[in-house]
Amino acid sequence: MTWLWFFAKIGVALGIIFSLGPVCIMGDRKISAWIQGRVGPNRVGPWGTFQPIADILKLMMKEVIVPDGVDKVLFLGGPLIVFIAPVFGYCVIPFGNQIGEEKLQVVNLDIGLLFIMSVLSVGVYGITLGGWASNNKFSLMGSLRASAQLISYELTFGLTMLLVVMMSASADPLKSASVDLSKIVLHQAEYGWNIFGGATWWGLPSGLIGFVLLFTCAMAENNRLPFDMAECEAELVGGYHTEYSGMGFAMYMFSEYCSMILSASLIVTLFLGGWSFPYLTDPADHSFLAGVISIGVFFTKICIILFLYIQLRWTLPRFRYDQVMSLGWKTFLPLALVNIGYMAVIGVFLEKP
Amino acid sequence: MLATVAVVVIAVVLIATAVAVVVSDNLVHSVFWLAAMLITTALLYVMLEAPFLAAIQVMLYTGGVITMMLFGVMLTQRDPGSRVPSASEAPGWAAPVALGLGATLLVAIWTTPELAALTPTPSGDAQKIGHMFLDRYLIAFEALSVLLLAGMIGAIVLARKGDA
Amino acid sequence: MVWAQVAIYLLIVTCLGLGMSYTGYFFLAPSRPRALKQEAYECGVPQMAGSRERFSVRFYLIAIMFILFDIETVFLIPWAVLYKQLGVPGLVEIGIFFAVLGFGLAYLWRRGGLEWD
Repeated sequence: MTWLWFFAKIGVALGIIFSLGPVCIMGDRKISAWIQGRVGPNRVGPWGTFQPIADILKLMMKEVIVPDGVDKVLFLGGPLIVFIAPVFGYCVIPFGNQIGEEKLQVVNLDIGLLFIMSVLSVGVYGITLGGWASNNKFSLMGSLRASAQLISYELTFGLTMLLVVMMSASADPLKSASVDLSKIVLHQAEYGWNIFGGATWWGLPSGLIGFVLLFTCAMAENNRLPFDMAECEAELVGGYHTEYSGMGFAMYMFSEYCSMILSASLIVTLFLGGWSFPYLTDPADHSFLAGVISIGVFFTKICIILFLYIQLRWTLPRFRYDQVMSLGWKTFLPLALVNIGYMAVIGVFLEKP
Repeated sequence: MLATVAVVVIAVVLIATAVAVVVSDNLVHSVFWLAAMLITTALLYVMLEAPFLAAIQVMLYTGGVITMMLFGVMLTQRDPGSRVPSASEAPGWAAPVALGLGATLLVAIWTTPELAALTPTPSGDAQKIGHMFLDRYLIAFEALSVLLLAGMIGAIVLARKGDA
Repeated sequence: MVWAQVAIYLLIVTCLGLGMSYTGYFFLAPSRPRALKQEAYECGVPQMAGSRERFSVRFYLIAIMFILFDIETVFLIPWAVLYKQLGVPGLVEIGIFFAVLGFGLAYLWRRGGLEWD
């Protein structure tokens, strides 16, 4: 029975990624078209909705060109790593409330948050590897820039996660949420979402700043447009995947959307209350229906965050590389540190739960 | 039983990747093998029921140290795909030293009966580690911050030697 | 038990990734290599120089700084979990730790280690 549940949960988790992935690709093109006053893809299927499927089929039939002088194993391994990392990281995301005895989370790890951080740090290799193995100047530059950018923003990412851990901490050792993601969500369901600063109103500025930091860093981590230093067509042709064709390129593309979905889920889990919503979900209700509703709430929240991602792409101008780095190191890092200091002071002196 | 099999498999992979680091004659390949080795070490920590340590191992070593090494290699490497001879310059000296070190370790492991009796206990809890840091090992913890500061200053001085 | 589940999940994801990446490459896609097609792409002109150029020392410095601050984050995690239980003494202790590293960041900034020229 446990194993049946386990595979069912894997099905839901992978279902979220593999259903939202193509929807995201489609949504990205349609929303971009809408914002720019174009029509967008509209030929394949009703309103062009089958476009992603057609794209995947086309890319699978395309020749995979392996240029001379590339490191063949690393060249072909890059797309694989870059895909595995975000999908693997998804296994600790709690996508719903408990049904009966089973937590709706593929595996319930005590170190959930750290697990995601470590998996994300391995994901950087996909980019470094692909860029280096390509034996192309632009690829190498793109991958080097991308990895420097990723590690810079990973710092703020980590510090913001630390802030969430602090918000979920409790003076009572038995109630402390630790770094377990499902407990962090439960804590939010009980005391209010972390974006509002958790338990006391004093935490409000801290929560808001933390949310903005995490959101922006997630954008930078995914190389989304205001931060797309890795690709920047104008300077580096295609960045780290210049030399990739066919499925290799498709995997890089798809993985970008997978990590977007992972980041959106993480943002929702850490700051926006995960699967909980006032009056709609009840943490104590472990029935099947309540579980399904909680999955629906979670799914809706991810979609809203994903829409924001796509919309911001056309709202903000892109950064220059030095601006990206100085934003990361001179604004975000000190801000995250100050934020943690503030939270520590109010947490110790005004502790409530 | 399953755990024993897993540990044996991990150990074999660990040794294989470690050997690959040494024998591979492309510097970047070496670094990637090292990354694989460090991740495998993290798996060993998981088997010893210290998942906290395992996660930190992956985060710090593969996320940070290996990236730094890659940058270092790319900074210095001039020729495309330059090869470095991996064979030791003086195998006559190296072999006895390595064998001696291995033998010493083996003897130490066998003659310490406490080691065999130790069973992995779940100790990777962040809370316990926190209590340890801020109670028992406070001085070490604070000294660590100074060490990190020294590293930081050293890096700045090294990197900006030209125009400082 | 939990980690066995993690391993199984990783196995499934890896199989999926392998299938998606290489089915096309090995079974569906044609392979018709041509000398011109195999060249490294450089906007259609012949490749000027080797690809493995040297890079600014900045990248290296950023990587070192990343490690140092990442270590700091890691050491803050056990404290963050129980900072409410530790109360004021814990706050003072971590404050010293924080101050030393804050000084490091300030020094780095002052010396221009964060400039990207």
